[in-house]
Amino acid sequence: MTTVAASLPPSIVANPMVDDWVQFTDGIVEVRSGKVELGQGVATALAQIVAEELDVDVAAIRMTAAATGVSPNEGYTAGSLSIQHSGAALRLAAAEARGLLLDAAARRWDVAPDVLTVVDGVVVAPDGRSATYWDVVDSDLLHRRVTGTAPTKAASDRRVVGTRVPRIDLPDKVAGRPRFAHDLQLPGMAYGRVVRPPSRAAALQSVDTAATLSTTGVLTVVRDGDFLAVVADREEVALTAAERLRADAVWDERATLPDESDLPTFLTSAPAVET
Amino acid sequence: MEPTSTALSVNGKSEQVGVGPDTALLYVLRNHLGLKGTRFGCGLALCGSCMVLVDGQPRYSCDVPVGSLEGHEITTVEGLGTVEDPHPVVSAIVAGQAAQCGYCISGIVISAAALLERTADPSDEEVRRALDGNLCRCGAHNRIVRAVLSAAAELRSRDGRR
Repeated sequence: MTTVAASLPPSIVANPMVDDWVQFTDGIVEVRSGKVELGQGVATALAQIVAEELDVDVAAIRMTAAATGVSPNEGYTAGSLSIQHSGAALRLAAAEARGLLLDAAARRWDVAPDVLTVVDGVVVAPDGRSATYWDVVDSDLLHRRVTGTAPTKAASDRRVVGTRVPRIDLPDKVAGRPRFAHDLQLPGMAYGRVVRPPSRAAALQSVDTAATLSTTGVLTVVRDGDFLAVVADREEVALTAAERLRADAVWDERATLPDESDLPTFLTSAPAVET
Repeated sequence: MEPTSTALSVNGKSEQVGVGPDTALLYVLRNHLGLKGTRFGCGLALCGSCMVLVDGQPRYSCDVPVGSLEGHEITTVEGLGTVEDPHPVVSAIVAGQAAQCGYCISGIVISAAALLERTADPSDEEVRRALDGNLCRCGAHNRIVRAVLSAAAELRSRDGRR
């Protein structure tokens, strides 16, 4: 057990249950990843990986955008690691889900799981009996740890991975339907604007917040060291209040660039470590 | 600041919004009317993510005070088509996979739709000029130009004027 766990992808180690990753509801495979679609196409690529292992159409996959409290925690979406981490995890989780679903169908029909085949989410027995994944699944079937022992498809058997699938997120984005974090509108949401320092390394000497705070709609001014911001009940109020606050802030500015006429001295005086 | 009310016509619908006349249209569209397809990019009338049509002309909505818009017709990307019947520019961009992050693309749809309203058969150069006010940091420009040209061809074939 410990040797298997040690060889599992890091995202599975951190999020070990099959249903952390895939859920079957109403004819849809809900896929949860901790990686964020930023235009790199990762939502589509991950959907392909799951569709491949489960033998379902990509159209039956619904990618849930990374959400706190729901999605597996996979850290940052950075470093070209999304397929390496999330893809590896989803491939194993989907293969494991397929195995559990086939085992459940085999028990139901009293046949061996390896005689069953899957055609677009429908499990078929040699005698013609069939049931969809959604018929077979129950609430805790997939609430098991990913063991990493379920066989995944050989590269030569892949029919979805490696093909060009249209980006699943594009139709909403092109037509302007809400799809970005900026588009969230939550009950009682407030709006903030940061007052940036006027130059690099400027220090906030003083700020008179009275005029800003007395503006209708301003909820608070936030000052934390040199960080200055305003929070308001409406975005347009935050914008104008930030201008007021900027005018009432006094900054200490100092030169931070080296003497341009004597760069060699600057370079040779910089700390250096021999390795 | 005394409360004010401004009458707007957005996507063919009359709207009363309780904001001052100096408020930029962008914030009214997104936060008061819930039309999230018009996007905040720079807030400085430079990038084009917030493009809308005012009487058919593309305008940066972050830079248009609502007080100047009474009696004018505003069209946002939501007003160009529906899920079932998308605007040909939208269909062509999806078909050509002509976006990466997609943040700028609804603004580009607006500029392209305005071009195709006045020019049925634009040249590659005319498309590029019409999209000059829309920045795409991902760099999908060439695919976007091809998609707009293909949307133009689709519209011409619909109108039967080849």
